Amino acid sequence: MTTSSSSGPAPAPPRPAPRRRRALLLLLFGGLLVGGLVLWLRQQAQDHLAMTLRDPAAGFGACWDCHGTGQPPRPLPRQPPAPLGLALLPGGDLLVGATGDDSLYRLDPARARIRWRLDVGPRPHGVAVVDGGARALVALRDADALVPVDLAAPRREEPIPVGREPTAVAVAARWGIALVTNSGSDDVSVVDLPTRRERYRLPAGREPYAVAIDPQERLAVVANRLVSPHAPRTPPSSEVTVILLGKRPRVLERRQLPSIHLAESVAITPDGQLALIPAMVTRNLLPTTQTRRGWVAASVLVVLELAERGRIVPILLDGLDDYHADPTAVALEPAGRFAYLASGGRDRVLELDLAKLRRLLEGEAADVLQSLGTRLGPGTLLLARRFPTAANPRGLAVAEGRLYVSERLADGVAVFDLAAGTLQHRFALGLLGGPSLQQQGEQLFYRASAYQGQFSCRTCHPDGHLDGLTYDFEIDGLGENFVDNRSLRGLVGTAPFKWTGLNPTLDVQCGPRFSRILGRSRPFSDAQSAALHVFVNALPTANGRRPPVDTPEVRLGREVFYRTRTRTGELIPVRDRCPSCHPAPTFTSQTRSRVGTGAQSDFTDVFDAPHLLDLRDGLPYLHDGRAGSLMELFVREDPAEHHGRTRDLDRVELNALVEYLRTL
Amino acid sequence: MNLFTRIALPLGLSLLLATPAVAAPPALCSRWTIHDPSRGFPSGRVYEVVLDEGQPWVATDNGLATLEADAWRVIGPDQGLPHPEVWGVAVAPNRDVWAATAGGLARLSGGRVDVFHTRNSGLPADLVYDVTLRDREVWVATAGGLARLDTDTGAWQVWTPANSPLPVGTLQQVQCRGPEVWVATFGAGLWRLDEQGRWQGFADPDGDARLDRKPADGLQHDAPTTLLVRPDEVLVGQEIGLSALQGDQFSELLPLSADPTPGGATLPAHVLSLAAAGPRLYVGTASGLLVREAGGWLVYRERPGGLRQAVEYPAAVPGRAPRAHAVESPAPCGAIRSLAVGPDELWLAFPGGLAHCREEAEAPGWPPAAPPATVTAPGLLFPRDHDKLFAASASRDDSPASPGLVAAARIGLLLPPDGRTVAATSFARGAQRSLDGYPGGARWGRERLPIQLVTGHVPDLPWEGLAAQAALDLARRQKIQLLVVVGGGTPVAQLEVAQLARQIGLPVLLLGSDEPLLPHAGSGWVTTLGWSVRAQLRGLIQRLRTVGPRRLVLLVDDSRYAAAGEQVLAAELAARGLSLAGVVRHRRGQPLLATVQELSLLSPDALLLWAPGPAAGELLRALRAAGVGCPCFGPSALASAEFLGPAAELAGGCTVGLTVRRRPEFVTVAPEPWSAASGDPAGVWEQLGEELLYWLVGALVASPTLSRSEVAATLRTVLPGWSFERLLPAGNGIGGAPFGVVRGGVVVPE
Repeated sequence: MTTSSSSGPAPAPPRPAPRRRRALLLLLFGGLLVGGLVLWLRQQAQDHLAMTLRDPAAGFGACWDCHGTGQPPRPLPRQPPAPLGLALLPGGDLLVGATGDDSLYRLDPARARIRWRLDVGPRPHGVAVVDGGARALVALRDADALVPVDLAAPRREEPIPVGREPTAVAVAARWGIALVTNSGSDDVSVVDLPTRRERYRLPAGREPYAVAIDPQERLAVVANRLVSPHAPRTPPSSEVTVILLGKRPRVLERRQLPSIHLAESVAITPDGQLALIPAMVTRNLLPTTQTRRGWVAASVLVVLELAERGRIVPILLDGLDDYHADPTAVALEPAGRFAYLASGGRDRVLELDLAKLRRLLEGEAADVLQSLGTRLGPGTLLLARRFPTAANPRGLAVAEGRLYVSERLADGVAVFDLAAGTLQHRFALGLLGGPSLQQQGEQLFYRASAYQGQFSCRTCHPDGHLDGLTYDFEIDGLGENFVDNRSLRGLVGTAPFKWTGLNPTLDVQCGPRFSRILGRSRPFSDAQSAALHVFVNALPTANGRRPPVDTPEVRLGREVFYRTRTRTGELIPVRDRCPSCHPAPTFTSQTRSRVGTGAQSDFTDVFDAPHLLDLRDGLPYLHDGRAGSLMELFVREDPAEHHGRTRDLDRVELNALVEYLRTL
Repeated sequence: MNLFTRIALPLGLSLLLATPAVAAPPALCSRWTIHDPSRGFPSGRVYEVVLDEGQPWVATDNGLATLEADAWRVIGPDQGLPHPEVWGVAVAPNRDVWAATAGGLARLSGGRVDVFHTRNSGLPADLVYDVTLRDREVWVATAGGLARLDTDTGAWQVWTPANSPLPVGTLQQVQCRGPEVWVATFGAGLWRLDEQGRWQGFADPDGDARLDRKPADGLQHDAPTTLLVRPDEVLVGQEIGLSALQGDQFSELLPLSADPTPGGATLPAHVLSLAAAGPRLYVGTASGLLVREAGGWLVYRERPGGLRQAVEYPAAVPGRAPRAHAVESPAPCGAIRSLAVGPDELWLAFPGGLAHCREEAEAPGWPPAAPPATVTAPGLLFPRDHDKLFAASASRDDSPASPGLVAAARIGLLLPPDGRTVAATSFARGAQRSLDGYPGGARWGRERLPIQLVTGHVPDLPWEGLAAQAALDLARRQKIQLLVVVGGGTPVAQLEVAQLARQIGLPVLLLGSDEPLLPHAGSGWVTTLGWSVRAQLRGLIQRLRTVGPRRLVLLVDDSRYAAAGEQVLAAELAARGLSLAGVVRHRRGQPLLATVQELSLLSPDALLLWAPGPAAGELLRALRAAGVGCPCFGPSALASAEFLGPAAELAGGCTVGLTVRRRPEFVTVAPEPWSAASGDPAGVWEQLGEELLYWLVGALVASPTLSRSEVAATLRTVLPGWSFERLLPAGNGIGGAPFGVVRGGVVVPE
């Protein structure tokens, strides 16, 4: 028998070879990586679905549900979302109206994720929450409607027709109504919520753009963006419309804001005593030589006391060389201690101390308060903090220690932690990839780059349109050649530009000449100019966004427009016929002619034939803005009948002609 | 089926259904609060008043007024209104106030005034007579046509005679009912615009501009004065009544086919304004307020000092007598231009201001039935069963010098010596007063005239056509055989009566008319006095020649009768070397300012007013206010302060018709006024006495219902001192009498 004897300690268990260890480690890391990737992809897929699917209630399927062959057509490629209106839900979620991709987003700020995206209709602007957070009301600017959205489903419900180009909505639950500002028809719709019908409208100022209701639901305050129609070369003023709420809401008062315009937002303090309206000061009667001193365009916060004979105190927001260009939004902290003001041209939000503001109002004399719109100090003293944002902040909301900012041209929603004063999160709603050339042009358009950042292209052309003012450019003499601002909509194929038609291209119009005359800053580069032109050329007309109007009056007006003989059968010379100077489709012959509209202050009476698109919103008329209406243009401003043959028209035909022109 | 269901239930139901409804008595307004210039109200001329949740908005000639915290706030040109003359007002659901003014359309909203006129909008004319609202649409009646403003889109749509069947562009009122739009024109009937854009017109089928010859065949009158569109009917007020249109069927609410009172009283029928509150209909007339309910009429009658009496006429309960209620603090005047009715309040616009009343508790129920009153009229002029002589003065001119009234007094000549009376109804306001004011009293020669003028049945005569209408009414019901119409005011009414008489085969003695006009009457039974008009015309032209105007403009009442008068005038003027630079026609009911503006355009250096109607005084005042300072010439009617009415408030305290001394640029031609001191210097009385007899005899002879022997017997009875040798058959009396009367009792044939 053989015995074995141990010859030493037992051998240690075999250790995995280093290669195996590495393999295991790799496996472990790989698993973690794959798991993370799966989770990330899942989140991305959910966001993708939320953003892309037109009906989120359809649920998640497979990628090839949408991307395979033989399937129903894919959703159209989305436009950049361009978020604008914000509304907070009771649970803390945030609703975002996106004007670019016609969507309503529901964001979950606590989990930093997008819950869903819903197509609601063309250009959703303002958003409000009703039914305790169960529904939202979204103002569709291009559908002229207010659309209720069931937030649980989520589902779009039957739209409620309102006025033209609705921009904002506010709800007075106590009275069962919603107020909608119709910027295109210059009125405010009173919508009955139980029946979901527009009850009637209240005339507002020109382009009512924002509305706020006080917490007690006694009053509503409407901010109107443009100045009211006024006599030529007189100081303009815009209107703040105060509405008395009740069973039958009515306009209680119309406060005039002298030389102030472009108010796009309004907020009321929790005690209902003050309304805050960020706006621009305009002194268009001064020659533009005064621009460098901040006299022609400046940013103010208008403080309106909501009481009988309450004061109106404008407070300058601009610093010495630090401008709050193009103020776009205001929001209040629920406790009413701070106000937040967004600058659409300077991409930032200011935090103002309202306690200081109240002390200012209580302590200063009336004449001092009235001068605050031109004094650099007080606005700076009220300033608490600045929050930098991405491009073109347009909507603000404050709740639970967070400040939400919709960054329209960055396609994002920023969430700031107010306690820390830092950016907490930024929702990216846009598509992958950088901004398109058109988006770049739009960003340039809205960026305040002129005069050390005092103003932007948008300052005179809000939404690419006009501000209803006439200006005195020093390039052609002071106190001479006043020019009415012209819309930039529908410019394609309408060159030359300028009332005198001296600028053959947009490059000339907006390039170095613009920098020399207005911007006083480095001109746009070629690439920037190209982008800007792409954007400007893409600006659609308001009428072009709507179905054509075809009424008997319009048909008759078209006949009158294209007529070749007078009522008595006399042949109208070709040069005196409307289409000779205003041929379709752009309604301009792109030529210059003398039509008897020159004034003593003009150095020429030869003008470019302007296009006739969007005349409906083009008040005032003629090169110096002297005609307050289209009818006035015919019956008063053309006594010698140099501007076409209209004297023989009877009232019906003349009226029809005007109605036709309003539809172009 | 048991007994209950077979018998009791139907019986009960039938009894229930057969039970007449208990007529609810109307509420009574007996305490009125007056708002006039002396009490802080901005104007004495109110065109329209509307209520918005109890807040009155008042359109006046001095702006738009509203009552806020018991104080009147006025919105006028200083506040942005385009013109102080505001003719219509409407309040939108959003409490915007729309004002129709003489300078365009205005919207008041939250203290801002937006103005729409022909230079900045599609408004067809700047003279905007009325405005009404339908949903988001604003409808306006203008001097150039109808217009609609869509407040949502800002688009205008216009209807004028050029693009619609509307015969005229001057529209005085517009109202909406669902998709329909109703338009009342100035003198061209009523028009409806339906949803499809089709027009339908409603006119007076008989073509008579003043008389309604056939009841319920259409409008009574082509010139509506007011309009009220209700869900089931369209009410059209006119100067001679109130028509209702249900479907395509017309009926007449006023004048009543049967008087509600046994006494034969007639309700005022010159309708100026309408309002409704539930089943209750309020009718504002030129002489009082009528409230119609199921139980009858409540009539606020004009008495000296205002609407002092409210009388219930229980039409639904035959045989019940009317009951009068005293009105403690009355509204001052009966001509109600506008009405606004709230849940328990009533606003009246009268010439001078506003009257407001909160309706009190329901008036007591209708009084118990009373036996019908009997009317005895023992006149014996005509020895038949038709024993009434009806004398209607066709003139509002109740000045003492009125030949019509003097002639009316002469009726007493025909009375038999026993003093039995003839029931003579005068429709002239103040006739009795005029008679009493005559120097000799109601006397003929030295004897007091045994005449009793029964006045007050129609206490007001808004215009002459109503007299003719009333005459027709009475003639039918009271079997009058001879209608004597006296009056020297406007001859047109007499022509109406003549036409009327021809229709019903009634002989008419027409006094005070003018012969050249008579061919237009087309009647073979008319005799004329031919005195006053020509005399006035001659005097007038004589005055005119002394002035020697180069641009003489004639202002006439726009009626076809006035057109006839215009021909006469033109001929007379041409014969005397004068010519007219223009003619302006003032349509009844048309705002004065429109006429004034038209006149201003002609730049007259002399103005000749002829038959301008009751608005003459107001028109003159408006002319003065507008700076038309040329001399004015007018007939004697203008000399009557009563006729001029509100014109008495002219600057300097002058009354236009009597301004010869104080305003020498205005000259009237009138007979010397009667006075106790002057007696009868012109011998008018004597002249009338002769002519009256002359024409009366002619009329008697012309009567187709009296035999010649009866006429002769009558004449001998009433004129015992006269002798009649021969009576000739009646001929055409136009232009002269069929026979002559010679003082001394000899009738000379031919």
